[in-house]
Amino acid sequence: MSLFTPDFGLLFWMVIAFGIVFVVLTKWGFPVIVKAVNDRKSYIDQSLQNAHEANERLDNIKVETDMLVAQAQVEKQTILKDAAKQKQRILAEAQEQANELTRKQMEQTKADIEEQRRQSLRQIRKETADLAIEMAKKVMQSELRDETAQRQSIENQLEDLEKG
Amino acid sequence: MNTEEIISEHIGDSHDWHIVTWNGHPIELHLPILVWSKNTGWHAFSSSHLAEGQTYEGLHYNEKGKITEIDANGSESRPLDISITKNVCGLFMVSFITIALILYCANWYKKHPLQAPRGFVGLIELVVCYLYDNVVDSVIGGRNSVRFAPYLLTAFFFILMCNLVGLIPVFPFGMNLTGNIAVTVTLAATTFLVVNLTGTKHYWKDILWPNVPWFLKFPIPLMQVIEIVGLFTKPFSLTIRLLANIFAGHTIILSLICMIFTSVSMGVTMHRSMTVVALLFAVFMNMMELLVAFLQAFVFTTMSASYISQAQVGSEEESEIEET
Repeated sequence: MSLFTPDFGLLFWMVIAFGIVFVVLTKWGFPVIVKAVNDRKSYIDQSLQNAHEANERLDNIKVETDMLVAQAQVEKQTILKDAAKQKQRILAEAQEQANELTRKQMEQTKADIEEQRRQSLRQIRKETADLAIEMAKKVMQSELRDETAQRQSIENQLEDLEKG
Repeated sequence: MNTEEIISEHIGDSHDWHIVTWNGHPIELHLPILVWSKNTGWHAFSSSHLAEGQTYEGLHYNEKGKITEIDANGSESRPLDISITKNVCGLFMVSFITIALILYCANWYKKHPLQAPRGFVGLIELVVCYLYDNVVDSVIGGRNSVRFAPYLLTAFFFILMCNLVGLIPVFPFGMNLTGNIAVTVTLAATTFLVVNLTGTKHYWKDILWPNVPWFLKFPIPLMQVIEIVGLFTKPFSLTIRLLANIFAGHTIILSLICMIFTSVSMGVTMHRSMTVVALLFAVFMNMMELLVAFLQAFVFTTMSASYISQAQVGSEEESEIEET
């Protein structure tokens, strides 16, 4: 049966046909497809890797932000506390200064009043003396000739009075 | 009605491409005849000149349908026949389809770098990737995968196309290519050449001086004989497995179809029931053959890959040493 004895003609053409198919597909067919698929595979892997890294970085950024916010919160607290202290201090200082000022003014006023009083006293004394002399002069015009000696005795008496 | 004749005509090769018989007249395509005879040299003419037992330029068909030459002395001889027969036409067609298919896909990748194909190209990619990952890379592995993938993939698609073309019964398909020994022998011989021409030192050492007790290889080279016989049984099994599967499939389907016509003489009831049964079986067998078409292409590729990988023993170490 010819089915199990190869025909030379068919064998000949089969070698040529299969040879051409093999050469053409080896040169321009399968390597191109396999390479394209592999390239795409590595590109996808690379992209996934990149996306993963970006995600990780994003997560890190979030953690960092949270940390910054927490830090800022703490700083804010300390600043507020400081400000409160400062306020207390300034208030206390102002109070003290005001007190001091008042005290000084009071002293000044006291001194002024004292001075006034003294002047007034001196004035009064002088005027009293004058008045007394005048009075005495008038009373004793006739009786007393030596005005100066009289005045001196009165002055002395007044001094004694003051001392006493 | 001669069932055996019909079946062998459908399964075999011929110089005329018979399409259909209409009103008792065959409608057929006469294919070119191309023969070389050592007496009269080249002959090239249409096979219509030899139709119905005619003799042309001293050539005629013998009882087996082969071209025979009768010389002046009346003695018969067979010239060298490289005619474009029905199967040769089929081979050309399959080659064209396979090349067009794969180059179309390869071109798509060139036009769309780093993109994933859909539809038809996606289907081919699926098959190529499946074979590359599960057959070539898992059996051979390493850098040799890239080296041998083109041959294995070419063999797969070529065999698959031959098988599928054989399953379509209408013109211009239906020739029995992979059920013809010339085709399967060529395919197996290519695998044999690829395996043995690329074989490593380790591979040849295992054949010519295997690792067995010395009395098995000297003075009588028992192991060597076994190994060398083994070299040739591999392509032989490849040839016969593919041939027998496809041949048997075609024969069974044709027998079932012929059953419809042979049962005419058995009466109307018998004929009708036989027609239904035969059709059901033929549909089943066709589906089966569709599976076998893929399966045999796959088996041929897988077996070739495993023979290649056996011949690549130690090639990875060798290339590593070369690099360092």
